[in-house]
Amino acid sequence: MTPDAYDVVIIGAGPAGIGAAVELAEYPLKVLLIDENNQIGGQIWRTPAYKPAGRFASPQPPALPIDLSAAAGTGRHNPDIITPACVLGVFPEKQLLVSTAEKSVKEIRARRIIFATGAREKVRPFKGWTLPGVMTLGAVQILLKYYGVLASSKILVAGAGPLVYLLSSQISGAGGKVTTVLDRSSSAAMLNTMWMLAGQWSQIGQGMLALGRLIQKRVSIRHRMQVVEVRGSGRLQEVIAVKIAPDGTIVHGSRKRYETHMLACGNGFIPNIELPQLAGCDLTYAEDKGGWIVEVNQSMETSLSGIFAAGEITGIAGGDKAYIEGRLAALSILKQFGKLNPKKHRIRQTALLAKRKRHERFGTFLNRQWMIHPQEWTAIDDATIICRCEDITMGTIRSWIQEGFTAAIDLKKATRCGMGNCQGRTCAPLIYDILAAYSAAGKQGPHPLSVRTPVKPIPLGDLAGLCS
Amino acid sequence: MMGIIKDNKRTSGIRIDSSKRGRKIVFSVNGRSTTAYMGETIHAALIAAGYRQLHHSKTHQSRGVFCGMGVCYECLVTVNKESTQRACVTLVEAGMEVEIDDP
Repeated sequence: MTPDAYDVVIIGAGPAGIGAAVELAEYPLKVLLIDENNQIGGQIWRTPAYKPAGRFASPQPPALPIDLSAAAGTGRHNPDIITPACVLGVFPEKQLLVSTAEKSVKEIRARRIIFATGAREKVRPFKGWTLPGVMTLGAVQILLKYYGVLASSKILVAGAGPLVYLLSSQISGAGGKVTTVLDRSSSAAMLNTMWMLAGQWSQIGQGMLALGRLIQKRVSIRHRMQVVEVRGSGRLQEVIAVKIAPDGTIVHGSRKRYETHMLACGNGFIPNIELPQLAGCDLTYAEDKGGWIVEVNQSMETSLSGIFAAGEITGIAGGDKAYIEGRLAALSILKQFGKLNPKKHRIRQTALLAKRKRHERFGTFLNRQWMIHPQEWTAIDDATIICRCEDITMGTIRSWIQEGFTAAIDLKKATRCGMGNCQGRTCAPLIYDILAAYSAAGKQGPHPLSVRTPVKPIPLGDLAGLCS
Repeated sequence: MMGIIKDNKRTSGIRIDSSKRGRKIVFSVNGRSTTAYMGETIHAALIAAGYRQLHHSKTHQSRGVFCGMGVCYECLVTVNKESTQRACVTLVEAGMEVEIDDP
């Protein structure tokens, strides 16, 4: 079977991938855009599957800068688009193994690769967080924003950062009731965020409005509250939260109980570094950028020549920064291909880098707000599941740490944590934080847990097609 | 439209009022006919219909939609006899047979 060959393959069609595709579309290059979702746009720019009625207009995504889905007949050089498709592996000569909706796996060759794989949500685990009815903020938002489905008529929203308020406002605007907002950060931090949002982040710039709407609806907002346990038989019934003092300890007598069938919670975002890691790109750990990230230079090129990274995987800072980085990566490739002369490239790169810097500062500010005090990690109850796929509890992990284990890989071997269906995507970053909280220096190990092909589970039969 | 199914085992989600959705279709959940709209994922249709628990974990604990974006593998269902499919990244189709682990 002859592999398909492309000048540029962009993996991930969120703001970063689309930014790259938009720049590349100006030139007659063979470009492929791949995304795991059914549509391009990522979690921010996807087109909703329904049209909302008038009063529910606020969660609409902004208009795309370019209509990429209308690939043919626009007179531009639009990319090929494969969705839903999953890149299972990356090999040294820039070959990609791609699994498509037709249940087939094919090999694709690229002269240049742009990783734009985005981020996933992070939740600090609490006892019972695996109960149905506990979802991430993003999960509840996606249901509402793209499918017009309120996960429940009453929802308790907990966590930190702008998404807490944006989601609460969206639930409220759609006719749902936000029973309570439990904000892990202080009220001062919240106001700072809102103030910065007003001028900084267009995607979530509605934050101020969001807060206004909640105050208007008399939603109870409680600060410095952390969910420590949820209970229910087969599904969520009640949430227990405590107040956290500035030093990370639990305020005595602050335990509160809330009845709810739906909890939306989130404590920030984690970069999806698995594919660039598999490709062999150098990684670095930066707590104020969201954890393990891909190292890039100003051209967005990774440590591997011809392989680029853009968006959340180079540091969590939101869609606007991602879009800029996608464009930066594309400009560098155009220069390498001789399509853009060095002078023009430099002018455009300089302008974009300046904008990027502003968004990066904002990202740092947000990531610091999402930081979880070491005491909050070590305080996690023994019965709390950490690895959701393998049902490995905090008690088990703690007992190995007390035996002297200091590396995630050793915990993985001893307990099977990170070896289930999600391949450690959910628990590995939590385990890094738990390990750091228990080590006096608080430092990370030299590498994140290793990644192997296929990076996501697929049926063996699909792979067999490769040999035929 | 805003009606909530009164059922002890289920707490319905709500499809909000909207001017336009995809074509109304019927699929089955453990043999029970369930309404959905074209363009929806299986998970959106299941949540709207009030299903919360979708499968059991290794140690037989209840699990349902968690990340809603293809990462966590907690919304695994059987689709047309094919097991271990992520409901949150699979579009629902007319006549589709979805099986979930009953509580």
